[in-house]
Amino acid sequence: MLRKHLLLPALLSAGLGLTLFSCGSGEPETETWEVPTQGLITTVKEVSTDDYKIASEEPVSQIADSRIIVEDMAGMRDTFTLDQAKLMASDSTSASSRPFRSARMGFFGYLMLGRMMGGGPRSSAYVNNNAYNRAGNTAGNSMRSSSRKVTRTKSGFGAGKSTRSFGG
Amino acid sequence: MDNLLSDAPRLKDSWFRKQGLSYYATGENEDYLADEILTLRPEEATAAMRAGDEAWDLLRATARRSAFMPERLDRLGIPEEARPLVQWSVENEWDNFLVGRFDFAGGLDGLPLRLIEFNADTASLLPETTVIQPEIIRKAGLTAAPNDLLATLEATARRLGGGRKDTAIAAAHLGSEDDSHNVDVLVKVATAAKWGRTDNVLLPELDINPDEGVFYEAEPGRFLHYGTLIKFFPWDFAAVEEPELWDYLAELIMARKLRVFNPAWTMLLQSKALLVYAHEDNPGHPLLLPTAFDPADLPDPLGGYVRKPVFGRMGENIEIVMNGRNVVAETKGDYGDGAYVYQQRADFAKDRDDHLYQLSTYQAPTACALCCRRQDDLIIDDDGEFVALAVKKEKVGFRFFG
Repeated sequence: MLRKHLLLPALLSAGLGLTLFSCGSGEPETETWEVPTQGLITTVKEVSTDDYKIASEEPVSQIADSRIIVEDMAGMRDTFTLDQAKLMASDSTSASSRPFRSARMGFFGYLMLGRMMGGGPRSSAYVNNNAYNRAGNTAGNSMRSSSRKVTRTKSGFGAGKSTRSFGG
Repeated sequence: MDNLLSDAPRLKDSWFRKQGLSYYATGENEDYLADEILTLRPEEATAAMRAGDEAWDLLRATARRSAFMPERLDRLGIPEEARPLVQWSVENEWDNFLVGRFDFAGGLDGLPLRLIEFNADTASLLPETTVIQPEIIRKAGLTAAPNDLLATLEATARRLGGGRKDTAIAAAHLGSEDDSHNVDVLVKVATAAKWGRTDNVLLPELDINPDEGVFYEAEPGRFLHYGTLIKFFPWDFAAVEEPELWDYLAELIMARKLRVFNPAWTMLLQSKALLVYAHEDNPGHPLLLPTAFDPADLPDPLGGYVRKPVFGRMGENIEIVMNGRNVVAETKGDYGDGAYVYQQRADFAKDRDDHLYQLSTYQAPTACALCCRRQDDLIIDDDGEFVALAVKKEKVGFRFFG
């Protein structure tokens, strides 16, 4: 099992309000969800020892430009790319994940990706209500309007052909 | 011919069980493995292997030329919607070829080798050739005919590489037991070539999303991502019967989110209409039988011809016509609705029991193995027997020069 592809269930379990539809039986099974078309720079600050909160979320045009900036109480900053965030989110035991692990950054990776897909973290994830409201008005609106619905179709292609060989 | 045949040892049921290949020796397949071995003369084996390599070059050259000729694509049976991927595939993955198999008439008893067809994207007989044939020949104490299929496939797979390291490999088929066993061989090859996790999967079970990729829901809500697809279902099946599947695969492949073996350009080689153009491009070539879209265009229609569906399989929907009007043999099947080609009838070697023998070469992509089927009928189809191949030991002589 390649865990990095379990992002959607993880996001769902994080309660980020993504939309998931399933159609009835007898039809091809489909799921519809949001995928990002914009990037996001999330700044996370250490508000007390090992307790980190979101200070700001700023949309950027390219997904690849997404970053998580982590600032500890001493003012030291670490910057992580989206790929690093995904990796850390899916592999909390990695030795290279020290800054993430100590700060539970994997969780912030989930939150960032959730925001990019049009979801919204709870207010308790932010340093204060002002940060929560500001993020909702900027990144939240932008991401909601730009995220794109994608449908995955459960194939069923070739169903009912199992009795004959297609070898040549 | 008959003096080249010898009794084949019967392999034990327990051996088949141990190999997981009981399917090929029990039930309705109890008589599938011939009770005789065919021992080739060394020069016959060499000629067949050379013919495989030569036919490969001929057909590939014609396929490449035809890929950008709309009138040829029409008659090759490549739907308009499928052409962008086929042409992209020619230009971008021309050397990504895993395995195929040529079938030949002749090549025995002094009969000339003649190309019958190429199985370009779902070449079967893999378990028989890689596992069963070597064991029969070993038990018989004979010298095996050329058979480096597994080693060559593994080397080819290593050269091609398995694709993205963060995804797995799906070896997909439509569910028949035979196809699944063939897929098992390809899984074994991919694993030996260190491609990574490779699963034998059913196509209908895969989630294919044109934006995201190919997935399998291993557990509720837990998806395995496949970045490479070893395909044991025909490209023409996707293009003609499941165009949405073709579209999805095309989007993924052209966005380089998915690699498929064999690639989409092999649909050109799978089309028997390519034999018309190969002959047209190489008139008079000894390997290529005159083939046409109308029997009247054959040089000797009264000498007999074979009508074949452009996208047929397993010897289905074949007709053999003699004297321009007498249908002397025909088979039913699922491929009767499409277009046909007409191929000049070729001579097959025949034994005392009227079995016709069809030699085949595996291409990966060079000729790397021989196998053979026979049938006591004019058309070799799903009822044919698999004949294990040996080769006569070459005599080592000493000559003294004075």
